[in-house]
Amino acid sequence: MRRTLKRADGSIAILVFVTDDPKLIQRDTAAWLAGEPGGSVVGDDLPLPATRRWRNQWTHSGGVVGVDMAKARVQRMVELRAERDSRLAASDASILRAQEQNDVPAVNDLKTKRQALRDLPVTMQAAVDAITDPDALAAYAPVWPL
Amino acid sequence: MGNRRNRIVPSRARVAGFAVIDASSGTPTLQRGKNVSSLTDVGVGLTTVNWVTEVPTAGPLITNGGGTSGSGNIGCLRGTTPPTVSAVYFETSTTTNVSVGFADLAWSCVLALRSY
Repeated sequence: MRRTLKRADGSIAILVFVTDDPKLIQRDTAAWLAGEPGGSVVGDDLPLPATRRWRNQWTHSGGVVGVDMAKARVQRMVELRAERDSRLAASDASILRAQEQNDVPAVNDLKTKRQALRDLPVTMQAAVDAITDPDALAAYAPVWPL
Repeated sequence: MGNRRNRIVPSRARVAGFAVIDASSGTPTLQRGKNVSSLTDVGVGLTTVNWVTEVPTAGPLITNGGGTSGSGNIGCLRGTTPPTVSAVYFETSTTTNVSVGFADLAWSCVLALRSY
């Protein structure tokens, strides 16, 4: 049996029972509730989202365990910013090399693309805010200039 | 190796409980175990093993983890959430530094020993 529990902050914990002993089920549930002030039991064997992609953003609303899209958008933006940062870092060597070689067109091209990378979060935020489906949010990526 | 004095696991230790868990999809499932009543899926890479009968916290407790992305996979205990006699909370990651980020692994394990 799988028991869905809700924390005070709205996030979800799942108790997966290995035993059928009702006393142990009751004991483990009580132990969890004691450690989570404001927590509550939502239900047993409720359907869960198909993937764990947004596991930390699961919530229970309207009788269904689903993804808190506001929190998922925040997570996606963190992931996208991290990707942006790594692309910026990866281009550091390229621009240094171009500068050393006095390759002005290449330097200008890289400068333009790196600035586009720095400006990207504004564009990404608008796009991410418009997404209402968890799968679409997971699939979203901007057109990376670099 | 072979020197009884240098053994990490005391020769007279007994297994108080263990759990081998697959958290690669859905909810964590117990692949093998002893003295386990339930698993609590707290979030990505965050699991609590609840014991049927009390496990002494003074005994050695070993965690490990493995998965699909190389040798960095680990499972470890968090110092701020120490094991109790009834449960062990542990974290898994695909890097050698858990603080970088947690991850669900294809297998992780907790082994609690009782020495006497």
